[in-house]
Amino acid sequence: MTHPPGARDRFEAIYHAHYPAVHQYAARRTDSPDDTADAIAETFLTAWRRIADVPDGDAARLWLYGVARRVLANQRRGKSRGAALAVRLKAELSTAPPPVPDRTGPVWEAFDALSARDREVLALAFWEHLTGPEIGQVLGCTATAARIRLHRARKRLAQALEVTDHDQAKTSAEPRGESL
Amino acid sequence: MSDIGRMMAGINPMPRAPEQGPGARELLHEIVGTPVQAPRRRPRLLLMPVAALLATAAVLVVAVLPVDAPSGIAPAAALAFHRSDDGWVVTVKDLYADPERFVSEFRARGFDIELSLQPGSPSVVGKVMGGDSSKEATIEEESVACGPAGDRCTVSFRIPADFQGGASIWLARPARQGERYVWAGDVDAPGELLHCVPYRGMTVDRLRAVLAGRDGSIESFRVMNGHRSNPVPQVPGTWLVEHAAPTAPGQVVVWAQPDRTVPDANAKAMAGCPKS
Repeated sequence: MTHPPGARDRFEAIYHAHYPAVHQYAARRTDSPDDTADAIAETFLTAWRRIADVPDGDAARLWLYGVARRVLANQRRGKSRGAALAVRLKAELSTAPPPVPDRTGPVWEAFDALSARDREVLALAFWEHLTGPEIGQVLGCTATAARIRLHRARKRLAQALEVTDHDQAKTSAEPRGESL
Repeated sequence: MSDIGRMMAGINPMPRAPEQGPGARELLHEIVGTPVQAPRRRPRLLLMPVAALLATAAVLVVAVLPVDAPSGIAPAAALAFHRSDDGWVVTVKDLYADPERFVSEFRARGFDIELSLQPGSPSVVGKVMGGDSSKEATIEEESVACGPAGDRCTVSFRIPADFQGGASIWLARPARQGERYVWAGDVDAPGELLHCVPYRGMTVDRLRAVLAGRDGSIESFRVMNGHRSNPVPQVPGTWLVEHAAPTAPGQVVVWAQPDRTVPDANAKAMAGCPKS
């Protein structure tokens, strides 16, 4: 079976438009260049195989983040081995200087001590600069649920750092007893 | 910006977008060169408890089969299901079965699961190579056992009791004669052609001799040209090997270059190998 005519052009356009974002997304969440390259390769391989499912416009970026999130979750469980792809990319990334040399300091320590759920929602908000509804699309939950998750994660990070989250004070009260 | 926003921005591990280098361009060409699978179907399943579904199926079988129907009319099952403490262990009995048979046998158990088995190099046979699921994938490989010739493999994977939604699983199976790998492990991983061979930095001639001693050969070469590598039929035997990857049983593709320094990545791959 082959893709319909035009699929390749569409995939190439999506690849070129969103490669930097997917690369950043993966690199921010892995410790090794090999894992970053594998995650990029598997994310775009999924996009190519499911090109008909990839939405148009900027929604494609959120869709790719969602795929990359699952790819990285599998990778962390040691369940992803990657295809025979990205050999060159791995070599390139492993010889490039790391964008930020070390992940130390009080903010890193507090961030690392949070749950994976909290870290992801904070990263989506402050590194990928996504809004509540966009975070919801990536995480597969409603915009409201995403906002509440973010609210709670911010609160926990602020507590860990013993700072007051001033933006937090302006947001609505956390619904009691809601399990998200 | 809030304090939290500033702090988070301060620890952003990659604040600036990377440029697409030659590796990214090459990856694009590799991806569009991979085989494409049939589009994922998501049949709408009735929300019926599995036990009830099985009971219904059992009744239907009894109802439609004549009492004197000879056994063995139906093809042997491609999958075998066994209950485990925390879900199901599914064994693939026929690695080469029509994908539709897998779908229907999963559906009979109440699972919306699509299984795709494609040829993989020895170190990845039986491994879940990827896939897609409506939730975070929780399907994991359980075991793989192959015959002495690396064929006749029995592959099992585990579906947790709380599995919900739909999933597609990409599993690597042994390659048949004449097939090329869709999935490939590291060429120096256990079971692969260059296991325990510090091939990076070798001359092409030397690698060719090593491969010949292992009933293998170089299928093709790739050489960097500007932003991407191009396939070339031959390179001088004095060129240096940068990378290699399995492409088919007994065959590898080799990235070679005339004289550039090759980063020494052999040490990591040689861990656990006998010292020469």
